[in-house]
This record gives sequence, structure tokens and C-alpha cells, in this order.
Amino acid sequence: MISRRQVADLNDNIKAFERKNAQLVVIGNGPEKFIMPFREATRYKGPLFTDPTLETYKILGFKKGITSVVGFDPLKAGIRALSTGYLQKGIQGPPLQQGGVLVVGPGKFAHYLYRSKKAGDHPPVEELLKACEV
Amino acid sequence: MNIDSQTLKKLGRQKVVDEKGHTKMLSALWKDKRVVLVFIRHFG
Repeated sequence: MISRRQVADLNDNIKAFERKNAQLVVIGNGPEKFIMPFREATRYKGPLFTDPTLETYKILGFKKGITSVVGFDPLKAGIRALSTGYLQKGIQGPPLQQGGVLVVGPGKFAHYLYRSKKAGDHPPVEELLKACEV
Repeated sequence: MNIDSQTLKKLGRQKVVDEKGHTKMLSALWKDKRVVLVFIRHFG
């Protein structure tokens, strides 16, 4: 539900990214059959993919493990997501895997990388928009 | 910037799958434009 809340928040800012000529792309993990229900829950209309192998997560060094999902901050993030209507409907991907954000392109130029330290840890949208400035 | 060009190259060669089951090489996404790739924890 934290991921759903995160993407719903980003969805509200799609126009801001478009104004900077940047495209938002969401990548998850797990089977592609979970993409449609996720899209419906978040009302996200942009490109949405899955990496069932998790290879991209490994390459980018995204965190994995029990300490990233227990503790007060992930609990707070979970409560926030629940209170705004994003109910967990079973885990559709490894529960201990964290994500992050990479801003890249055009071409082979990476501009920004954020690795989430724990559940509910996301970069502020303002920071992502700044990374989209040419 | 904490991602080197070798890592980016390796990342670009990975394939992701859309909701229709079509695969796409990651580097195709950023070939001509700036993309904000948001890797989420899971779809649940």
C-alpha cells in the first residue's frame, strides 16, 4: 500500500514532469498480471513495467532485508498509506525489497539516483523535478 | 552522481515487461528523452 500511495502521489505531478520534458516510468517486480490492478488502484496512466527477475534492483544496489521493513518509520508510512485508502491486498513481489529512483537520459547520462533506505522512504517530488532540469 | 557508465550500460541491457506481456530493453526508454524511473517495492 505504501508503493500504491507513492505512485498515486507521483501521478498527481505528471504534468509537472511533462513541463520539464521528462517522462515518469514506474517499474515494479513480480508477475505482470499484477500491473493492471495496481494501475486501477493508483489511477496511474503512464508507462508501467515489471522486472520479475529483480536484476535491475540488484544492479542499482537497492536495499533488501528485514531491517528495511520493521521499525517506527516504515510503520508510520504504512499507517499514512492505510489512512488514505491504500490497503495491502497481499504482497505482489518480495516483501523485503526496497526501491528507489533513477533519473537518466537522453542518452547514457544518469542525473540522479536515490536508494530507499526503508519502507516509506521516497525522495520528495521537488527533488525529482530539480533532477529533470536541463 | 553515484552510478558509473558500466553500471548504466548493464542496466540498459535489462528487459522489463509491460502489462500486455511485451518486453522492452531499458535503454530504449532513455534513448531520446529524460526519464524518471521509479522502482517500487512491490505492486501490492
